[in-house]
Order: sequence, then C-alpha cells, then structure tokens
Amino acid sequence: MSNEDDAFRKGLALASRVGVEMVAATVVGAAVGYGLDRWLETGPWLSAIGVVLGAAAGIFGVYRIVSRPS
Amino acid sequence: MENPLEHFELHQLISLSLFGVDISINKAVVMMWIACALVFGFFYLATQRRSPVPRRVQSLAEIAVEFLRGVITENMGPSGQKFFPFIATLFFFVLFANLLGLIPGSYTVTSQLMVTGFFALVVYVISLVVGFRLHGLHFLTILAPAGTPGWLLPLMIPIEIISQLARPVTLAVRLFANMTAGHIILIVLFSLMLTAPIYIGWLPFGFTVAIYGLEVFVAFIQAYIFTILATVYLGDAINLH
Repeated sequence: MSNEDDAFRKGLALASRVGVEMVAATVVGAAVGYGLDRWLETGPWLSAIGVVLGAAAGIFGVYRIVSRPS
Repeated sequence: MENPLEHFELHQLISLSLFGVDISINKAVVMMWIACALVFGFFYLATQRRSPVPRRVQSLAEIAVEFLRGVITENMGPSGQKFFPFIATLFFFVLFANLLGLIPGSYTVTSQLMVTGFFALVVYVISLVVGFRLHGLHFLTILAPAGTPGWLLPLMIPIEIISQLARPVTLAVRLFANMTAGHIILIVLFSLMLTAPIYIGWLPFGFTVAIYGLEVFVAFIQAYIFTILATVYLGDAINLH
C-alpha cells in the first residue's frame, strides 16, 4: 500500500472516530447521572453533573485521539 | 413510498426456544452462518495448493494477514501477536458481514445494534480481563492518566470512568450507525428513482450507483476501524501507560 493511501485511510478512520466519540461520551455521562439519580433519589443534580462530565470526557477523548501519533 | 426502515425488520423463519430463551432462526442468523462459511471458504481456498509464488486468492489472504499483523504490532506492541487469531476473526467476520449485506435481498447483520453491541462488549470485557490479569489491581491506574496533578484527580477519575464506559458504546454505535445509515440512503435514493418519471429518474439512479460504490468502501473502512479500536483498547490494557 502506498504512503498516500495509508494517510487517506488513517485520516478517514480518524474522522469516523472523532464524531461518535464525543456524542457517545456525553450520552454515557448523562445515562450514568440519570441512573445514579434514580438510585440515590438525588433529584436532577447528578444527571446535570453527568452530562457535563460526559461532555468533558468526550472532548478529552477527542484530544487524546488527535494527539496520539498513529 | 415504502417505509425505508422496513428492510431492517427481522421475521422469524424457524421458531425455536431453549429453556425459555428465544433462539429463533431469522434472516440475520442465516446471514451470519453464510458469513462464517464465506470466511472459512476464502481461507480454505487460499491455503489449498500453497506455493512460494502465491496465486491470486493466496496472495489476497497473505496481504490481509500481513496488514492485520502490522496493525496489531502498531497498536499493541510485539506481545500483541498472541491476540492475532481473535483480531483476525473479528476483522474478517465484520468485513464479510458488511459486504454480504450489500447484495440485494440479503441482510446486513452489522446493522443490528444487538450484534455490534455484543461484539463491542466481548472486546471490552476481554480488554478488562487481560488488564487485570497482567497488572492486577494496578490496572485501576488506567483511570488516572499519567501526569495528572493530585488536586485534579477528583475530577479526572469520574471523567475517565465515563470515557471507559463510553468505549464499548462508541465501538458498537459506530459500526451500527454507519451500516444502517448507508442502507437507508440507498433505499431512499432507489425509491426516488422508482417513483420519479424517467427524464429525472436517472439522477437518483446515478446517485444510487455512486453511493453503492461508497458503501463497498465504507464496509472495508468500518471493519478496519472496528479492528483498529479493538487493538487500541487491548493495547491500552497490555501496555498500561
């Protein structure tokens, strides 16, 4: 496989990873927060914190993907 | 126009139940069997009458295997080669399932979240088992990225837990969403062609052909990404930090 093909394939893989990474982390964060709220009956607070932490995890994940030299 | 989601529905072909668990045979199950048979058949053909100067099927198989070995070494280090059978099985099954779904009248197994979700779960559980077996409880330091200052730990650990939990979700959703979306686009464009008058119908038909070509490419790319992420997650568990 030529170098140009290699770069194209890696770029495409990268593009496909980044979007899902952010969405999934936010959704998982929200789900964890909601689940804990239901369990501990702590109102909406843990859901709200979960969304924020999830979004942070998503952005952090994207940062890690793009800063990894692979 | 018919419902574009209709062809994702599964109907039981043979109703079976084992100890109260529904194990009915449907189109997706049959397609998985066919995919298994195709992978087996491909490698059976490739390894028949092996010669130092490979024939077409053999050299195709050799290129694919060499490529996967490269991916494993890149993401898991040399000790990752013992996972080669698992990674290769994953890659070829996903690839053949994706490609099989592109044949009109067949079924895309990987457009079922249950299938991709189970694959992702297996990959993730294996990475956890490997991590705890190699590193013991020290593996939990995966939740604290190297170089994190102590006062940030209360914030970083919940974030890391969420991003760990998100791993199987991203793995499953990416494959499922890409395959489902591609097939929806194909059927919408094709129904447009069927309903449009002939002087404009060639336009959606042309797009259908173009998107079909793209879908063949996506089938390869998604199988590749699924495999690469499996190796990255396993690699993280093997080479802690």
